[in-house]
Amino acid sequence: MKTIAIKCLIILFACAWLPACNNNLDITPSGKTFNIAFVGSGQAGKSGRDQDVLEGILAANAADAMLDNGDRLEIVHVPELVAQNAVGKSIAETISGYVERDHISAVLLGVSSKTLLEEKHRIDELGVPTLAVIATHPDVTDKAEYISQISFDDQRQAQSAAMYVRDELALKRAAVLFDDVNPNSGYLGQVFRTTFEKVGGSIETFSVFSQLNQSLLTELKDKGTQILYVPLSAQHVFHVQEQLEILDWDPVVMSADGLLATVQQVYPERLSELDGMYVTDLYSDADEFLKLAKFVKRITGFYEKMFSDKASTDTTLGVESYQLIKYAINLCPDRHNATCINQKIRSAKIHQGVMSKFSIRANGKASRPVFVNLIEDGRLNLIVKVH
Amino acid sequence: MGEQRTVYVKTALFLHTDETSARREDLVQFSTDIEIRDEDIEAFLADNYVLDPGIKHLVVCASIEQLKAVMEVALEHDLSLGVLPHKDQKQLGRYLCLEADNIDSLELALQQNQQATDTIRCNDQLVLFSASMGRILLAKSAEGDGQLRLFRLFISDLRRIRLSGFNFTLPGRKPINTAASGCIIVTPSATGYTNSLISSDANALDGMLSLLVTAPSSVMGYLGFLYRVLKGHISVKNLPDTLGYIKTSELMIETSKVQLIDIDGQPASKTPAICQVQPQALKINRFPNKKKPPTGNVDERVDLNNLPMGSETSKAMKRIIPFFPYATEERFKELFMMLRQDARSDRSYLLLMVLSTMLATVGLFLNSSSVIIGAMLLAPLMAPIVSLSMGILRSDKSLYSQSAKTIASGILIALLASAMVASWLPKALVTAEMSARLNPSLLDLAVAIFAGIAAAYTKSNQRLLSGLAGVAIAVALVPPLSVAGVGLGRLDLNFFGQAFLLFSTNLVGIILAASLTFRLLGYSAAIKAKKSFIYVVLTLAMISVPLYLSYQNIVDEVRAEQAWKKERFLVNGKYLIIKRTTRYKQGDTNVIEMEIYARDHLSRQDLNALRTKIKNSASQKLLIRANLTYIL
Repeated sequence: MKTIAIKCLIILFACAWLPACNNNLDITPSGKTFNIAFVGSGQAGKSGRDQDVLEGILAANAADAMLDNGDRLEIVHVPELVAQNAVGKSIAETISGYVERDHISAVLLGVSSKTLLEEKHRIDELGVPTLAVIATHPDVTDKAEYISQISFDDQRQAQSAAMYVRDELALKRAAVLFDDVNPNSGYLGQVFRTTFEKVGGSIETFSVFSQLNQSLLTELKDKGTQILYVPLSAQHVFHVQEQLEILDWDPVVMSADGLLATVQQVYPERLSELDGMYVTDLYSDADEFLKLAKFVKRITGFYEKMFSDKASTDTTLGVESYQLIKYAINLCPDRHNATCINQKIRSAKIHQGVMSKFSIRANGKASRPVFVNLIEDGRLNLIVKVH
Repeated sequence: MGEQRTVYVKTALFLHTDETSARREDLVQFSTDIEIRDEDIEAFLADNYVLDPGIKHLVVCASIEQLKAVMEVALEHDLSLGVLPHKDQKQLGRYLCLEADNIDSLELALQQNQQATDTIRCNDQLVLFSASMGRILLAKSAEGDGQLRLFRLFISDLRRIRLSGFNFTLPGRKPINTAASGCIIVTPSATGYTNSLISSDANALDGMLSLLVTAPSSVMGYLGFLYRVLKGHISVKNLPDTLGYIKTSELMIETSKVQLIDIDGQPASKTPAICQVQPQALKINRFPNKKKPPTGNVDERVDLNNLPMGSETSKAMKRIIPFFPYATEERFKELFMMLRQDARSDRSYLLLMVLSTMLATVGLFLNSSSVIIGAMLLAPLMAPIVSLSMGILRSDKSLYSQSAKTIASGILIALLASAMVASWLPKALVTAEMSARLNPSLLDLAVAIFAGIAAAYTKSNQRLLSGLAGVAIAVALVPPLSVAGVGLGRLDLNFFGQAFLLFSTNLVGIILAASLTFRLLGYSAAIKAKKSFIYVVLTLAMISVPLYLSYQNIVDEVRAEQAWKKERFLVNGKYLIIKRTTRYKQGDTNVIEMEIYARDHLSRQDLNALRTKIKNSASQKLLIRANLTYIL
């Protein structure tokens, strides 16, 4: 009898302790909603990277919409990313529209550097805290008060690529093919060249992509070129691969961020063509670096329920962007105080991202590692992580 | 020249059934010089049949039973016999050493002057192929049976096999009493594994019968037997554990309970069985055997060593076949005596403990692995631990209390001795050999378990006793005790605790593993001292917690070191490669030492930036020490 009573008491105590294991306090909704706008590239239907970014943002919002005081955050966006162009609106006009109609607190921009740079000043003048999610050109944040970048900039990306090639692959002869229409591509190519030459490497050619032909490649091959640095769009990279195959030449090929994400979205049937290529990117598929912090697990669950696509690096950027904006808005009692929100974004606080820590400096630039990956079986296999 | 002409009979009486009467034409066509008469076999076997004295040779094409009846007539009237087997009488064909129903059988059946062959009788009935009693292992197996069929027979046997008493009496010998599942008289024309077993030993002209006795002592033993049958690795010279073999001219078989005797696949009689050989009694045309008749007398052979004998017989009959074999009394006694001896704490034990501990302690300070190994070999601690395991297994209170006292006294002496030595030697010295005995993990427990299994196994097998030295080295009981003693001597409880945890891990692991091993080897039907065993298991469970945490630390350390290898830093435009890292604790501080490759000179500003980046990316506070190597 005594033993049974003791056992019952133990069970009761255990039950009393159990709720204490749950650290999460339930937040009572305040009933107030505050909006964050997402603006994409404006192409109809599935338009590649910005669709992935939006999915990441929506999943993160679904998992974690509440601020500490019970205020709720919502994402406002144009359904199906109907072309803003089609209705004659620029990005700045779109943002203005959101400000008037939805009284947004911040903007998440899923547009390329090229698009953003065209309207940078007009966007900045709107005075809305804006986070460029996928734009990596350093000029995006140059002299911009309200525009911050969550990706690393191309300066660091290209430097990391060049140093890795020179010091770790120990390659001395490189060729650079860039797209002069794309400011990212040109900038990456230029920085790669400068850095590579500075550390004793030689650049056999620094050519615009449109000049690519068999005779150029043959010349490069004859010169003993060991690596092609091709910070190009996916389509152009495929073209380079095809030309190399015709020549039966297999040099090391390296490209830049977003390549795999684009191919996964737009050209999934051609994924295998990227095998063996080096890319610099924001993430890697290496499990040992996946922090699997609580928020990641939670968001993954929501993402899988909401979307059938496989998550890409852009999805992860979307998640991190949302988390950062939420953090900033949370710290500002006035949820529409742009100055406060912008300061919190640029507070240089170290945030735990999905795969690494990052911070946004006072100048709006991100400090986060560059992942040098090798693409194998459609996955980014981590080689090194450059802080 | 030199070729023997085949001689055929002049007259033959063809005995047939209605179905086989057509074979007469074959016989007639074979040779026109032979007079072939024919008769219905049933009419021939009728009591009122009068045999023509001119008939000296019979040719039979009928069933086995009818053939045997004709054989009896042939034996009685000294007639010779030829046989025409059907296509489906494969065993008969084997008996005649020919292939059924081809021209050779016709020619053979009509030949004259063939060698008379032995006949075997069991309770007066002729045995052509086999005579069995009880349940023979894989009795229904036939040549060419696949693995699946054999395995199915094995499973079906398992459910039914029981051992019962068998008494075998050979002429001029005392009866041999044993327990078996069954026995079978096998001839060279038998099928299945029994045939391949005796094929090298049996001869149809040696005046002997071959008897196989089957007695599986355990399911594992039977599995082993099955394996050998499947692989074809059985012969009378190398009998599996489950078989016994007798070769004799005459044999009486008695059983504790009446058994049916199957002769040539048909129930024919009951035990007791009197089995005899009539040497070269029957003149039957068989293809000349490759084996020549033996010259001189053939020796009897009795090989029943694998079967239970004496008191084991009654024990074997009482129970169903166990999964694991039980150790025999004899093996038991030998081992027990040894273990009791080992459990005692005598002067030499105490002296060796002191010496081995002091040697180990000095070896630890010297950082000399060879001295430590010497101490491990000297240490007598393993033996009482193994004795304790047996004591727990068999709930032998005197054995395990004696062993426990011996172990306890050994531990105490070891701690005191090493503490004393440590107090004479430099206090601050912590060598690599000492450090290796701190921070035990689950891996050390795994070592202890394997060592415990090996210790019990080598102890139980005389031939393997020399292997105990290897076990002693592997498990290393005295060095961790010495390190614990050093900790005591320095009054460093953490030092003492970690080393003693390692010793405890080894101790508990060996006890548990050795007990289970002895159980599997059949030294006990079950673990008898359940309470003591549970205490050991609980202790193991408690020890496993810090061991697991320690193991996790090791895993985390390795992972972290691997992860650091992929870290690079771009500091003020300078690319830094992390080549190697080592992490350790200095007091409460986590220290990381790294080897960095760089191309450029690093200023203080660069180093500060590097430090900031490292601290930002690390999950804990770190004291960083970096060694720079320049890439030229």
